[in-house]
Amino acid sequence: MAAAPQAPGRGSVRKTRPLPVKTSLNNPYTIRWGALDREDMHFILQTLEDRIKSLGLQKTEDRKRKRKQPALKTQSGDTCSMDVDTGEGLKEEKPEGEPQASGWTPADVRKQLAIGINEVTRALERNELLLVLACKSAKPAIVTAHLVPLSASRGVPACQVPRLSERLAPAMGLTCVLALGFKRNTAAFAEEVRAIIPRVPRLDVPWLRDTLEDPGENPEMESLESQDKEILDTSFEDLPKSKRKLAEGQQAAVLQPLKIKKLIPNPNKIRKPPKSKKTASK
Amino acid sequence: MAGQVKDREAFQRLSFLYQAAHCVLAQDPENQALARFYCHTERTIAKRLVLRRDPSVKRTLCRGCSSLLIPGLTCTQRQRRCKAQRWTVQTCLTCQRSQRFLNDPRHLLWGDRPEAQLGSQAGLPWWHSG
Repeated sequence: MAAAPQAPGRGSVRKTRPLPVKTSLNNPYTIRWGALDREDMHFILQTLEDRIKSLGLQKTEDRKRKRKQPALKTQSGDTCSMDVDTGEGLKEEKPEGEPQASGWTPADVRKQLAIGINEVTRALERNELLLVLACKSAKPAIVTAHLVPLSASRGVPACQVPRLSERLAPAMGLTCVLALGFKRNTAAFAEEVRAIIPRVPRLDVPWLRDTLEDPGENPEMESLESQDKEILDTSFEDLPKSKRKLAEGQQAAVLQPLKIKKLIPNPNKIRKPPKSKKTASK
Repeated sequence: MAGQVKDREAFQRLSFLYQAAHCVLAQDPENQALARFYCHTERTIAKRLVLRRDPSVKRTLCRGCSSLLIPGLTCTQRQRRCKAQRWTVQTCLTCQRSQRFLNDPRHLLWGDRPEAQLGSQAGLPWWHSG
């Protein structure tokens, strides 16, 4: 074992105390995104960027709120002149030129997309999405990690594309796009979605993997109920119907091996000084 | 390597219960009571034997009702901004108890850092797909 951090100021005669090792139960499941090829990644990024630019999907944001001027969103004429006065010329250089209400330029197209992690999560919970794209450069990565089992459970293809945020954020006029979802009723992006979906790798969620193979077995389930035993050639025929339902997952879920993590306690851990009278140093 | 772990069987029980709770919810999303029971048992075992669990495991269990939290199924997860910091808020749907985790791009849990590992596990945390 490595030399223990000894108490400062003591003689070196003292024996080195072996570092206590803490064992902790580690998560047996590893949440992983599917591996995406480079060409697929470029293709996806390129198609989306072109499409967005062609649609002119942009968010024009007015920074006038910082000047404590409320309700400026709909006032067009006054704000324009005020901006000129205050010299905030940056926001005036929009390609539109005219005073724009803050918001998105084609508003109906905006409704077909779910932009941002919260929106994507909400839409996934309601099962409205066809495709989910997440940015790989999220730090810390837990921020997008919860999308994996969520979309796997709804059967929605999802993949992690690095640099999604770098490419699409300036195209859309946002600071940061960590997640993007296409709703089911999307008309503007339909061809893109159809082109991208076959390139998306499969999501692998260990505990869901065993039951997600059911679509192959569902017809067997129905045939079970209709007492058609020819398809089922396992020994489940003798079981009563209620047990058949439970035993439908013919591959019993694979038990993941036990994962234990061994930790060395942090030597720089902030500790409260012990209140015992013996330690005179504290 | 890992052969001298004390209470190895207890860890195996914990792991088994955890996985069983996942499978139960995967097969029958309505039956959350059973998953909750498994997780409650797991918590009791860990408490009684004082076993340490990884934060990645603890974060998926609700502290109030000890149900297994799966985002989208048993809990909601949102990003919130609070005091100029970014938090991930997880709310259990059964007991409405929320947990908040800070999203600091520079912070890494001590347990995930490579220097803490004794060489028995890979250095990356469970949610890091690399």
